[in-house]
Amino acid sequence: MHSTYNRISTILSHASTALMVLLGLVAATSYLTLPSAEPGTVDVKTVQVYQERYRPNEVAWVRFDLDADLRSLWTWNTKQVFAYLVVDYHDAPNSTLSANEPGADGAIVEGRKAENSIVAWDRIIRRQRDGRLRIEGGRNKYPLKAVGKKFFGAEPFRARLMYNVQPWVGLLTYGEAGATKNVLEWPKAQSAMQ
Amino acid sequence: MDSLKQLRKMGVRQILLQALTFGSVLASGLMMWKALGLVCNTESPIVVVLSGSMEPAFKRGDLLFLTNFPNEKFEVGDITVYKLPHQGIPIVHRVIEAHDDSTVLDQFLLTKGDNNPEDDKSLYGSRMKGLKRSNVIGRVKGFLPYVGYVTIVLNDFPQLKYALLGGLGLLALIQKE
Repeated sequence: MHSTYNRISTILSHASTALMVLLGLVAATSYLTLPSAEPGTVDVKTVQVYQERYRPNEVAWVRFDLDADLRSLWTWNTKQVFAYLVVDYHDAPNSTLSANEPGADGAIVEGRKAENSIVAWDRIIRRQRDGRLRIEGGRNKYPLKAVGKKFFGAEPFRARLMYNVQPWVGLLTYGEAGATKNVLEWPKAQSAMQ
Repeated sequence: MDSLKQLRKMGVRQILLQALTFGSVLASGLMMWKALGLVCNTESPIVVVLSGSMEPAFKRGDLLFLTNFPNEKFEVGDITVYKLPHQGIPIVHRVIEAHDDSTVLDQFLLTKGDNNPEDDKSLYGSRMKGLKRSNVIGRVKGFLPYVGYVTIVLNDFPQLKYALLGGLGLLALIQKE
């Protein structure tokens, strides 16, 4: 009954249960006392659209200013914050799909109304003191490619700064830390890209 | 030798009873796994991170908890676990492009590992231009570090796995209440 094996297994199971309960409590309390970031400013300065060479698609490059303070997101259960700038736009009413159209099985019809979100820029922030974002004249890390052939004629777009808080243990949370105030238009494409 | 003697003393009925207990433990584990899968609406509600492509967010051996509710759209910034038709291993990467289509109620997603310099277009292959909802197993909702490393070690050293399984089975058979 009270063999060494019994004692060890009881201690181990008790310890692991206690640890799991503790981790659950940590996850729950940090989720309930979740901090949020104060809204910052996002400003898209310039938008340039280029026609891709040898392809019918357009690619856009933006210059933006970011000013946001994400330092309030750090608690004792914050491992990292992933900050990213999202560009949201609708397709042009009569745009046809080309590049991202799937092969035979995609039943996307012409004249659709699609919503698109593309991450233009991101940054992994691992320390609280790096959480102060102040970027002037930043350029998108990833090219913004039109899903239809063209941006021009598409509806105005907006950009927003989002963040994803990654805890040491627990639930992943998301939030917004600013968006563009003015409505932005896609310009006409310039002929050749780069 | 001692344990063998003990085994002989127990008799057939006792051994069968122990085997039954062992089986019911296994079965209830499987039941809980499947029930969790039903609640979270995904084929595997818990996955172990196998690669470092999402570092520093997720390291090898971290446990991820997934959900895949049909009425929730995937958004950029979400971390998804997806499986490609020509590849058996699930991949954990972040969505960096989401294109919704209201006419067919599907989405086209482009993913990228935080730690990778390039997006996953080359992973998808030439035939797939983007992920569809049906490729995605779920989105990461919860995170538990290190715990999954046990399974990685057991997979890397299969002998250890068999030794552990055998040992556990034997203990369950021999042990008296």
